[in-house]
Parts: sequence; C-alpha cells; structure tokens
Amino acid sequence: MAFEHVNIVGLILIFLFIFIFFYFLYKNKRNPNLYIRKILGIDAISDVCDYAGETGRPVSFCTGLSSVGPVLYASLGVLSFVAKKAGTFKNRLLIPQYTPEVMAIVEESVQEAYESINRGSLFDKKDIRFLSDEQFAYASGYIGMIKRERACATFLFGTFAAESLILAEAGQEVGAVQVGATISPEQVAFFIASCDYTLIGEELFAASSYLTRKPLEITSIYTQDKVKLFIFFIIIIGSVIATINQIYPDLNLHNLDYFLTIEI
Amino acid sequence: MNIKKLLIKTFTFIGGLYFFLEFVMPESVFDFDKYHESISNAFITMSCMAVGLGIINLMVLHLDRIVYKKKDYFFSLTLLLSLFITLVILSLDWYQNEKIVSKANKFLTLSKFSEVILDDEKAKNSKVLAVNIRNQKLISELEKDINLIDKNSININEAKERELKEVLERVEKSKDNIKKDYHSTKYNLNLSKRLRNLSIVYREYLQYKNKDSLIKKLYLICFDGFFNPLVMSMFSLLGFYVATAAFKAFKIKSFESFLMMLSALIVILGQVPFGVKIWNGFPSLRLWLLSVPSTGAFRAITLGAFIAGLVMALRMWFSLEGHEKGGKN
Amino acid sequence: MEKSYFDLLIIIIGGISTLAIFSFLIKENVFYRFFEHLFIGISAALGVILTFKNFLWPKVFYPLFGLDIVTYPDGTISKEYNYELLLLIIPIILGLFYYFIYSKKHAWLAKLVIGLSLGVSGGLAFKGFFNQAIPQIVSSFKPLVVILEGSVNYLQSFNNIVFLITLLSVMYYFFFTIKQESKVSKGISKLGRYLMMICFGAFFGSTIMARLSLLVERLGFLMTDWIGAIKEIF
Repeated sequence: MAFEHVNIVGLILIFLFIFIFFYFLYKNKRNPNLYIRKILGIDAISDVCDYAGETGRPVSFCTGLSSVGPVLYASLGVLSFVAKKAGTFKNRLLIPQYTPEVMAIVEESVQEAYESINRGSLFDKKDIRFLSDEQFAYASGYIGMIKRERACATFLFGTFAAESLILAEAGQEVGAVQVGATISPEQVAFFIASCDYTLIGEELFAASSYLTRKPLEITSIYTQDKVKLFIFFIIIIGSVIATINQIYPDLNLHNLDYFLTIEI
Repeated sequence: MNIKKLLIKTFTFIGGLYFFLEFVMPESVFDFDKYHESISNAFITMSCMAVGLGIINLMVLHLDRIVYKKKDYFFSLTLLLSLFITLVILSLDWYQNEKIVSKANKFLTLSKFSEVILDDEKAKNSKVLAVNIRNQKLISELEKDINLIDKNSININEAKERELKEVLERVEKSKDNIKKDYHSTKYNLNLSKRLRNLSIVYREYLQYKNKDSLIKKLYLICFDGFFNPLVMSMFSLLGFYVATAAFKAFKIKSFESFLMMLSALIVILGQVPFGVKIWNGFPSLRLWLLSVPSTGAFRAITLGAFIAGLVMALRMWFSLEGHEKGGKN
Repeated sequence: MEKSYFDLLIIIIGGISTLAIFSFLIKENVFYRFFEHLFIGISAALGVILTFKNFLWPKVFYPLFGLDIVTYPDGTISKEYNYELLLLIIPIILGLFYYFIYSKKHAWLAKLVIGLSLGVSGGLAFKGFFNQAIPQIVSSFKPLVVILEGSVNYLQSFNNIVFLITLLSVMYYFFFTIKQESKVSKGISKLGRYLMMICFGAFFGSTIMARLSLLVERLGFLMTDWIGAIKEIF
C-alpha cells in the first residue's frame, strides 16, 4: 500500500488531525493544569541533572545519528532542559555531533538555553564537537571522549543503530548515570540492558512536554493520545470486520482501508 | 514581531508547504511530478552545502589544541594530518578516475555522434553538414582516439586486456565499413553500438591498469589498511559488549527482567544446535516469539512513535516551539 | 594465492588497527586514542569527498557548468544548455548561509536555512506517515477467527488473538493523558509492559548471534591472516 498522493478521505483525516491539534492548543492555554500520568524515566532526567550538579563532573548529551526531523526536535526539548540545569550547576555539557546540519541547530538551541538563564558566558562552542558522519567513527570518538572526560551523567536521546550498545556501555564503564531514549525497539532493548533509565518509543517525544509543562507541549501529548485512541478503535473495528468476513465470507464487507483507496 | 523572526517562520512554513501540497493535491489540480525531482534535489543540495561545518568545527577545536599545546595536542595533530592527507589522496584518486572516465567517454561521445548522423539523415535535417563530411570527421576523430590507446602494452594473456583487443578489432571493422562509403549511414548504428561497448571495456581496462598506481596504493592503505578494519573492529566490539550487557540485564531483579531474560534465552536456544538438543521445539517457539508477540509490541511502539513524530512535525512546520530552538534573535 | 608485499602490509596495518580498538576493552590508552583520532580524520575527509563525488558534482555543479554538453567533431553540440539549471544557484547560496552561524551579527541567516530544513522535514512527515504507519495499521486488521477450507484454523486464530492483545495493550500502556487508576486499566497497562519486555528480550537474543559472528570474524582475521602476514614478512 503506497501513497503518492492522498485521496479525499485521507485529506479529511489530515485536516481533522490539524484541527484537533489547534483545538487542544486553544483549550490548554485556558487550562494549563491538564493531567499527564507519571512517567518514571522522564522524572529521572531532572534527578540525574541534580546528581551531576553535586559531582561537578561533565554531563554528556548524545543525539546519536539523528538527522533533521521530529526525533531531533523532540530531543532538543530535553537538551534545552539539560542545558539549563547544567548551566545552573555550572557543569560542562558535552554534545558530540554526527551531522553538521544538526550541529548548527544544536548550537543555537544550547546557546539560547544558557542565555535564558543568564549564563551565556558559560556556553562553550567547543563542547559541541563534530566527531564524524560515519557511524563507527562517531562511536569511537564518543567512547574515547566519555572515558577521558569521565562524564558523570550521559543522555542518549535520538536515533541510534548498532552502535547504541557501544555508546551505552562506555558510559557504564565510567560509572555514569545514563538515560537512554530512542524510538527503535531493537535499540531500546540494548538501552534497557545498559542504561539506568530508559524511555521507550514515544516517551522520547513526551519527555520535553512532561519536563516543561508548557501549554504547547501539553497540547502535543494530548493530540498524540487522541490520534492514538482513534487508531486504537480503528484497529478494533478493522479486526471485527476482518473476523466477520472470515465467518460470513458471502457478506464480503469492505474493510476500513478501502476508504483510503477510493477515488471520488 | 521581529522581522527576522517572521522571515525565518515564513521560510520554515514555505519549506513544509511545498511537500505538504505535493502530497495532498490531486494530479488533476496541479501536477507536481514535473518539478518534484528538481525541487527535491534543490533541498538536498542545500543540506549538502553544510558539509564544511563539520570540518570547520574539527579544525577550530584541534588547531586550538595544537597552537596552544594543550593536553593531547599530538592526537589533534594526528587527526588534522590524517584529515588532510586523506582529503588529498581521495581527491587525487577521484581526479584519476575522472581522467579515466573522460578518456573512455571520448568513445561514448563518438558513439552518440554516429547515432546523431543517422537520425539527422533520416529526418533530412538540412541545418547540418552533409553526411559524408560528418562521417569523415567521425572517422578521423575515431582514428585519433584509437591511436592514443597503446596497443603494444595490451597483454592478451590477461582477460580484460584480451577483451579490449577484441572490441577494438570489431570497432576497426565497423570503421572500415564506413570508410568504404562515407555517404552511407548503413553502418553508423553498428559502429555506435560497438563504440559504446568499447567505452565500457576501455574504462574497465584503464581502471585495471591503474590499480598499481601510487595513488591507488595510498587509497588502499587508507581504506583497506585503516578505515575498513577500524569500522569492523568497532562493530565487533559489540560482541564483547553484548555479553557484558546480557550479564547485567539478566540479573533477575523483577518480574519484568525475568520475562526479558526468559524470552532472550528461548530465542538464543532456538538458534544454536545445543538448544535443539535440549528440546527440538525451541526453534519453532523462537520463531513464534519473534513473529507474533514481538511483532505486536514492535508495531505498537512504532505506531506510537509515528503519531508522536507527526505531531512534532506539525509543530516544526508551524514553528511552534516550546523550547529555545533557534527562534530567539 | 601468494600475496605481494603490499597486500601483506595492508593486512598488518589492518591487524594493528584492530588491536588498537580492542585495547580499549582493557582501558582507554594512548594506542587507542591515536587510532581513534586517525579514524575520525579519515572519515571526516571521506564524508566531504563522498558528498561532492556522489551528489554535488554529478547532480549540481557538473550540469550547472555545462560540462555534460559535448561538442561533436563537426562542431555541433549534444544539447543546448538548460538555463533552468541556473536556479540551482539559489539552493547553493542558501546552503552557504549555514556558515553564517559563525557570525554574531548575521547568524539569523543561518537560522533561515535551519528553519527551511525543519519545515521540509515537517512537510514530508505527512507522506511518511501515510506510507509507513497506514500499511502497518491496515495489516493489523487481523481476524480473531481464521477459517481455512471450511474449518477453524486454531493456531492462526490463536496467533492473531495474541498479536492483537499485545498490540492493543502496548498501545494502551503509552496513553499518557488517560488516568490508569482502575484495576482493569492498571492490569492492561501492566500486561502491555510485560509483553514489551518479552519483545525486548526476543530482540536482544536474536541479535546476540549476529554480534558474536562479527567478533569471530575479526578474531579469525587476527589469528590467521594477520599472524600469517607477520610470519611471511619476518
């Protein structure tokens, strides 16, 4: 099932989705104290930053192999938070980079985080270092850096591939407290094995919202949940229709995907 | 609102708008396909131009260490030297390859010219020179280019070189056919095909001859000596780390870690001959575990991530920032 | 096949590089650090050259400078220059704006391009969602009862039920804005978590063999090729 262009049903769904987002944005601005359940891994981010403040050792934030996209954008939210904490406690914040374009975005984000807490003078561009755009050269540079700098806390937020275990184990070896977050389930398994706290899948996107509690961030989570709920019921209905088609094949009911393929 | 900030948000919106419209607009309203590849290439070009940022960052950091003789400046020197030496070697290798391609492409050009002569003759194109003059120029250029190939150095004992000699002979035959009557385009298509083949074979021959050049040897030292073994060694570190990670992860501290350990154990036993000896149902159980519950969980996690990514993408498109991203100016 | 001295040299260098990386397992040391910096230097150069070689030169600069236009022996040309290619100057200039990140006064120009980049990712996400998520949703419409040749296929039905329970309970676990206070909802959430752990354990187990085989390959290279090369030279 490939979509080069969307049909009218798909278009309606897209606009419905945009409407839901802006509706919650408007609603949340009027009532910012909306409920979000406790997410243990995200609570730990603040605690880990506070721990780093006590030790005075550097903190590392790794965005992995993230390219410009939603995963990076979500990670920047957490990076901003960590940068502010690091600035408050005067910890060095090491941010090794994989892609030059992402490096430019991260520099801007971190600089503004420091300036927002009036610690602009602590921002050091040299701590945002480009390592390599080759996966294992990046991993090699990262593990060397972590060992030499003896980071006390490492955050692994972004897109990771096979090198995820190498990065996480390096932090383990120096005794760093580690928080890992990625959307790929294969790499989450390795983070669970090697990190102290792991955020699974979309918890990475929820992290920034959870930490800042700003109306826009809460809107994101609410929209996510509503769309997910919609898909949840779609799957149930789809399965029921598929079951009916098995038991009563003569009925030959169209399943829900039919609506995405019809041309009006 | 600050005019610069407004301009940034406008650019952000326009960037997303094109791809959004390209997806949602039906072809009957506007056909994006004509321009889509060019526009996509334009965006890729824009991102590729940032390639120098990484090099600048490396140079600033490491030159600073070298100039002020800070800690580990020797390694910074190593990095910068390896960077520049590799740049030089790769550039020279690329240049050498381009020279080879350009030499081989002379025959490709003549091949296309031969076809153009035939097409123009069929279309009775009066804006060009007469067929016989064009054929004469074609053959004279071809003879010049063939003479540049050092036939004496072709070693017919080597397969690639023998192939080149055979193809050259066929081209000579076609060339001689045209020489018999320049007014005729009967043999132009045949010559064109043989010249195209010659271009490919000659390129392979030159690349084969080039493999013993100094540049190629330096390239091989860089890659087969340093780069590839370093990549494979880093990858193989996973073999060590997966064992240490397993040792840590499979300490049964909770029911969840017990489940994780149990399923990992079943999958491992289903893959090794030892597991089959214990119980021959392990491979089937392993396959079931990977294809049914794991697929379900995998799909739920990825669906959630897609949805969250879509919401985040909407925020990116409309420049709705909850955090400092680069909007403050 | 007898190897030349050059081939043996390559193998010896490869073996030393491998040992340098493996030395990290004992502790971070000068030997590893040297090769780490060498690795980064080589790969940085490779990244730049590949970007130019595979994209910027053949797709942008080569046609832009008209180098793909050839002159035939009779003076005619293969094709006319396409003046639309001059529009490529716009993304080139926009791409160069990235370098304004180093200027305090003109950094906003870099933000312009960064914003454009982010906007493009945002716009592309809709197509990405439809092409990646929708097929997965559609393939999750599994019947709870599978009937094959007139009779119920219990195994397939069981598989589908397990699949759906896993999918829905894990999805339920990830609802952040729904209060999971009742016993039922807590139970479903817990079930989702347990099923996720089974999934992660299975992934972990399935990659162990692949990872170990990489290690075996490297150790095999050291034991046979590398030691063999040293013996031949000395």
